Amino acid sequence: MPYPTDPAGIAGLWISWLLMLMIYSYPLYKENPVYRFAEHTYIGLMLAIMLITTTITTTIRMVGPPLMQGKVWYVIPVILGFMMFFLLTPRYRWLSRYPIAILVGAGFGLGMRGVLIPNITKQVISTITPPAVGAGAVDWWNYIYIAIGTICAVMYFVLTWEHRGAMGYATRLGRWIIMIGLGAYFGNTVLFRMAMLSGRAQFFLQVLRIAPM
Amino acid sequence: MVKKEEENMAIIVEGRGMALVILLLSYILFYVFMYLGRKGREIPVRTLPPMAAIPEGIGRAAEMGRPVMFTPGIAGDLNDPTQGPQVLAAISILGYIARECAKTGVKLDVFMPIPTALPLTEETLRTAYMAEGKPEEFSPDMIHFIAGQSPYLTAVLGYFQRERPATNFLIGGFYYESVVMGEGGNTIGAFQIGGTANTHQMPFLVATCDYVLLAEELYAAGASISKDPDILGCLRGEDVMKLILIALMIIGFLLGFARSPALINVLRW
Repeated sequence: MPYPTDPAGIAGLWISWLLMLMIYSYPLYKENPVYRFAEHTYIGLMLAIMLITTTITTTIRMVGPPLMQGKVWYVIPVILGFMMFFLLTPRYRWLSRYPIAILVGAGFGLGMRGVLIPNITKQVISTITPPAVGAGAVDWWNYIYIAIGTICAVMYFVLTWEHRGAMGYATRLGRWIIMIGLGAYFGNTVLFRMAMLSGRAQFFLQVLRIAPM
Repeated sequence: MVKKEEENMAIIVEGRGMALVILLLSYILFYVFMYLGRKGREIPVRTLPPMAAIPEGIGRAAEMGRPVMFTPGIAGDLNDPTQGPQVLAAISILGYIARECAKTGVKLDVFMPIPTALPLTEETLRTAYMAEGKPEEFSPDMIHFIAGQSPYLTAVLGYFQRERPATNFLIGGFYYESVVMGEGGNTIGAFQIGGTANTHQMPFLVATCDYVLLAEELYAAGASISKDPDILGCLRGEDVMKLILIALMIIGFLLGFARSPALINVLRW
């Protein structure tokens, strides 16, 4: 994206640059009125944007066209949606529980179909699938490590029995394996966050025209 | 095209049979243990150190004269099959925290960014304060509703700096806010108890919190507090299902050395 030349574009760039510095005054210094101004501006703006996009998406894009085509049953979710606003009235707030109950029940029901195969059967199959014919020692080591690691880690999450005796050894090993896994995750994400930070540093320099945009 | 239509009309689609068996077996186990639980059979939950640390955290806030903050994260709504149960378990734990706060007179601030969970949160807090004989101390203003991940996160960070809570409970379904809030809480020296079942966020809670409820420990904590025989029964049923799967993995692992695909074929049915 080239450096903007129109006044609105330049103003937008500088406002975002200033707001970024105001937000960074919190980790670099401490909580202060400048940070508070940026914080409240950001919260207010985001809420306004969400309100507008949600209203447009639901009423104009999702419900409007089907209703125009005569699909009158689309009015049911609209009524249920409006019932959520009874949350704001102490006397009739019980009415808001019906759309919430439908939303939660339908969500769980629809979500169940996507849980069992990828999270259980495919995981078990991947764990017990041996290396291909002619595989080397490293592949066999991975097979053994993954299988034992998975079994011990799952055993750690047996929650209604105390981890004593033989189970205690397996769950202790499971806990170590979980911690190794979490450490790997942590390292990976720290790298990703560093990339985000360098992106902000690049933006800082680009606005000042020190780095090319 | 014909095959697709045949698939749509089939009662059991090829490749999904075992998932159906697991689902039905899980339901049977849940039902059996829920039934036994209701009949009075005790289902214990193993010791969870983070739960024992909750009174310690609230006691710390009482000594320091500072508030306690609770938030369940914003990873998903109640209708989300992965995040919803985490939020429900977190609200069970919130009930316990609220009772402890009511007992000790500690101010509790709840940051609830999930609109569908708002009524439940409010009722849980109201019930907790009533149970402790202090209904007048409950106020809906204790619950701060801020929609959207970044605004919610920004507001919590600002709150940390202004109110400087003594103890933070980051328990529920978290996304990237876990690391930012955990680190923000660390900066102000708060005692922190975390918990999530989102694998990708656990490392951050482990790194930034004093105690963490890892994955399903979160559900167990919720069940151990509620003492609801149905929830405890589900938990035991789930454990038995896990042991069955562990047994299957051990058998499959050993068969792998003999290069027998028998169990894999059964699982692919």
